[in-house]
Amino acid sequence: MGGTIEVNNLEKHFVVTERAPGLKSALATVFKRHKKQIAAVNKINFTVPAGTIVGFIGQNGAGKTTTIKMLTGTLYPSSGSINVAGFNPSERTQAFRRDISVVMGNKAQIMLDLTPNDYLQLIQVMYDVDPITFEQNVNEMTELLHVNHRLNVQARKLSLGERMKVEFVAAVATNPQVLFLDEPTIGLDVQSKRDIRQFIRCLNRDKQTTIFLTSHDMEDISAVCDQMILLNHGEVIWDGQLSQLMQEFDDYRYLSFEKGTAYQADQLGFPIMEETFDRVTIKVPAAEVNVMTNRLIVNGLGTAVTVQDLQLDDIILEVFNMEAQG
Amino acid sequence: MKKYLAVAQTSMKSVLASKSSIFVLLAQALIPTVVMAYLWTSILPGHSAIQGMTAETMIKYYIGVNVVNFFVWYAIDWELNDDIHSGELSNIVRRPVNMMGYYFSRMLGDRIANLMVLAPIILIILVMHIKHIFSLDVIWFGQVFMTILLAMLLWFAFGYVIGCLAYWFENLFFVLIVKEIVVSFLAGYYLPLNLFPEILKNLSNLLPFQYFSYFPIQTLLKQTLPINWSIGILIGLMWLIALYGIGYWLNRLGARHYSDVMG
Ligand SMILES: Nc1ncnc2c1ncn2[C@@H]1O[C@H](COP(=O)(O)OP(=O)(O)OP(=O)(O)O)[C@@H](O)[C@H]1O
Ligand SMILES: [Mg+2]
Repeated sequence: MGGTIEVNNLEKHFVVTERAPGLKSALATVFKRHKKQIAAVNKINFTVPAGTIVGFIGQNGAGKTTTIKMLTGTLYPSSGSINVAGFNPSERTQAFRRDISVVMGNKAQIMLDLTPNDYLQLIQVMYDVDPITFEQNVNEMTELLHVNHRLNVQARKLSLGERMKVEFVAAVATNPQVLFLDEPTIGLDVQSKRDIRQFIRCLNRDKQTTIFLTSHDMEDISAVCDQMILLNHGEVIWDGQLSQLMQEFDDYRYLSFEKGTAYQADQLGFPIMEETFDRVTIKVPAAEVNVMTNRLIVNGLGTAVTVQDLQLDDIILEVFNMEAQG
Repeated sequence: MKKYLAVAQTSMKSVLASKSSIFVLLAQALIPTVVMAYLWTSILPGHSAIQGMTAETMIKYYIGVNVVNFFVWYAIDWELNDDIHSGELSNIVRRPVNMMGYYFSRMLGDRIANLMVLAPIILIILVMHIKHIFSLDVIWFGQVFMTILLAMLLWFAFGYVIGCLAYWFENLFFVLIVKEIVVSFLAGYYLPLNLFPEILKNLSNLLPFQYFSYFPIQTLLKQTLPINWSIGILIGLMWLIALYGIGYWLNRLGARHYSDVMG
């Protein structure tokens, strides 16, 4: 019911033609193409309950955008099945398209010749939203996001951030059941990022909108997400509650110190997370932090020791590294 | 329905906000006509004629070409090709609108905007001919209206079919150019079809293109017999249904191919 998302064995292959650099090889491809199939998304499974904010995380090229495109029906899956809010997106029914909204951080949806006001008017009619509530919502949102004074400027002439905010307003003002956000805070200043996060939370709380979010900004994720799905080379490597993931690493701290005179890496006894020519960071169980700090100083292994909880970035990097090491 | 009006309206706004100045539009319509007029007055000086067409009838024909074109000509195939290759199409297929309806509304909006830009000139012409307006042949007017409407719908459906090929071909540029030339020729855009050799005439009778230009122009110039006109409309309508079906089907197939670049 509601805005549930269910994905089963979803796959997307792309056929790409590759060529070496240079004019000669460019010419060669005219006659013979080196076709290669890549699995952008490789048999993934997950479920997102209605009313959840889920963070979809992965490195560049992991397949996040490809997945979102399939979930929103613009791209046909190579195989597998999808159910979004009770619809199969590939059927592209109007009811489905009416019920979802998409914001792509790096791709304009607004028609660049139009002003935001014209565009929003079009959206109101297209999605058949009650004009009075629509206007109220838009006024409220544009004020909150500080773009209310930019609504009569041709979209072409808006800054990246201003345009993003308008796209965001348009996406939300149609009251979607599921909102897909692909890097929605790209190009936004610190304050605007906060406004958007706050806004996403309110939307989810007040209207139980399911929100499917990708971002490379871990603050976005830690600030708003309930659930997290980690994607690596087209495969899901972790899926669960954000709090659960944080808990798994709750018992560890990062100890960071300057290399001492007697520094030797094999003497540390804990895994090294980061190393520069004069500083080292190691991961230590919380219970052993004090003992280890003492040992570092007493044995001349390190000085100027600082202790830190693991941040979400650290945790995610670790999960990816663990995956890479098998 | 309201949605499509709104789409047409936005397309009008885009046109009015950006490109079309009245001079550009006028030049677009006038220059080819003037060139053709010059060409034919030198080929057919005085009252000499080929196949019963004098320089004067030729010039009338080319004015007809431009009048019809003005309502009909819209590069839907190029637009679709662009949208598919740039990934812009996603912004349309994600919206709760029918894709064909969307593009058709855009075309309508664009044509209406162009009409609005030229409105002052059309008004002047109307005022100059005010006496004739009351003696206007209503049946003729209705026929012209219907043929132009048919031409518009056919042109759209055909352009849509061609544009859909962009789902399969990475570069449609060459196809589009060749199509433009061949279709314009067979539509009677460069030469009236009655001047064509028999073989080409027969060919064009088997194709829908004469309904883009030649047929409405002949109607406009009162050159068709009622019976031929009725048959023409019927065949045109059949083409319309066929092309619409093909376009619909190609788009459904193409959607599976669509790779939605960028992102
Ligand atoms: N239209 C396409 N044709 C061919 N390959 C594609 C296409 N779109 C994406 N890919 C490939 O699929 C893989 C996944 O791309 P995708 O855009 O989904 O990554 P992403 O996780 O969104 O990355 P980013 O964080 O950089 O946005 C990449 O290797 C990319 O090169
Ligand atoms: Mg992406």
